[in-house]
Amino acid sequence: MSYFLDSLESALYLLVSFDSELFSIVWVSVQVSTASTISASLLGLPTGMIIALSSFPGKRLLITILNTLLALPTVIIGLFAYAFLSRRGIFGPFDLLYTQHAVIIGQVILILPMVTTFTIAAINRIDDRYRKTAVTLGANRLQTALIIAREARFGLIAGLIAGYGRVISEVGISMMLGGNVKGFTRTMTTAMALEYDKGEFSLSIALGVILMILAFGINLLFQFIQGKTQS
Amino acid sequence: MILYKLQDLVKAYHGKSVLSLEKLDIEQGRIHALVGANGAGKTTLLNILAFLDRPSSGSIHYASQPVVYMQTFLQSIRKEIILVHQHPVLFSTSVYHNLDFGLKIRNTPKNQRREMIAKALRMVGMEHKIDAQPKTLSGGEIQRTALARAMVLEPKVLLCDEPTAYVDLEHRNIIMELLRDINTKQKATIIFTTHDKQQAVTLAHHTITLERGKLIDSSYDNFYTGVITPDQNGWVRCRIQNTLEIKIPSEKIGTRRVFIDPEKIQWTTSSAVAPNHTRLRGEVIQISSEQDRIRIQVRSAIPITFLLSQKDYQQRSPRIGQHIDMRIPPDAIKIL
Repeated sequence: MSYFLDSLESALYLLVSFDSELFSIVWVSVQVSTASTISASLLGLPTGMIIALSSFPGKRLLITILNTLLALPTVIIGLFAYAFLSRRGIFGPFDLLYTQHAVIIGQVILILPMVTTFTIAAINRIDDRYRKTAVTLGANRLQTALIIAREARFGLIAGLIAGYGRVISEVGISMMLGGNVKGFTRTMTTAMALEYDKGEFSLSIALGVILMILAFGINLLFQFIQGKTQS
Repeated sequence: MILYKLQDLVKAYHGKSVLSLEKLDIEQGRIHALVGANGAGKTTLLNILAFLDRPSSGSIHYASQPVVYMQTFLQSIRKEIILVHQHPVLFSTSVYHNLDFGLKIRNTPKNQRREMIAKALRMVGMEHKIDAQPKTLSGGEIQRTALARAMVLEPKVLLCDEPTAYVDLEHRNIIMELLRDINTKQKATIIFTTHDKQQAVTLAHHTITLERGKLIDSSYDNFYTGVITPDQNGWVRCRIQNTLEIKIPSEKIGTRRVFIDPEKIQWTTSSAVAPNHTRLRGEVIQISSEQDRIRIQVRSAIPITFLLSQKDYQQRSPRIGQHIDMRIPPDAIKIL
């Protein structure tokens, strides 16, 4: 027990002294997760909108597949992405493996189904009268889609927050594609796993505290946005 | 000039026809009332006329052009036609921006837009709410804002689904006056749905009556739900609203919609009634003029309307509150 309390004390010291290594790890995590979420939103929001607002054969099947992909384990994504990004893979010549780009690619694959399905759900919740009103006022397809997106904005933001929460806390993709390179691809979760292996709990606990604060903040924001959606 | 020409138009959902119009011509520049019971197909027809929905079969000509359901074609004609829904929604932005939306789409210069918006809001008595958010507005205020949002675009055709359904009496009259104004000043064709027969008669130049998705050749609304059963004497009796039993020449049995033709109801002073006629006594509650005839509304076992010629009206001089006897001959009753 005293060992844990000693580690906690050291962790708190790292936090209050603004330890440079600790905050460089946090910065990498935030940077990579933000880039992943923005990239996934650029792909997922329009894709979700197109799926939600159009009707085509196989739409239900596609939504079922997207829902299934929500449960895709990070190690599976890491494994497949590794096969493509490693020197022997088709994207080998781009030399992406063990870079932040590789982690971002993996994380985009992870949360793209999430952002897309949240978008579909958010758009489907919007009363069809908004679409009809925009159309009768003379809006074209793009203008109508933008009006609907505006009405669904809280639901769409909720999807992005959920995606951000997912990538900042994942470890499999960051470890397998980033390689846990210090100061470069070492994220909070991979650093915690490493420190645990080394039996060094101080940094692990300090990172854990920051991760929990971040997770709490994200969830708080998520709840706030969800409340806005319902109201 | 005929603005809409509908021919053999059918709208079906999951194989079930909800609207079936053999022929319907809608004249330009007039006010048309679309009346009928719930589920008669009024809103479906409005959506088709607004080109928000396409018919399952049949043809529509708009302004003498055959309507082609292609995005570019629809986009251009939709800018002339605005539909105001029965329960309109406002975008979650200020009242001003709601009205600005259509103007922006039409590339109206910015310096003109504010003035046009203020004028439209003034017309519906909403100028003081220009910066208000929709969630702070009442149902009636939302309806008036939605009407202003349509009016500001000066459409050639204004379609209104129950425009006064959720508006108080004072604003109901304002809206009716507004519709009349839009029609006379902007020369807009107005098509509105209503349950209020009086509103239809006083506001519209022409009434289109729908019953179960079909056009009925009457501007009146003596429509009832009746339970039809055969009696011992070989007649068939129809019980309407549990208050009136009439003899009918029909072989149809069960619960049916019944129409009593107002032109065939007779005002009688004689106590003798033929055995196959139904006698009905009631109190005159409303007298109004429509074209060359007089419409008499009577409160009796069922609310009923009949028509008098101008000559009969002058001879008999009915007055509000007068108790009268009516005779319904068998050929006045239609089972639908």
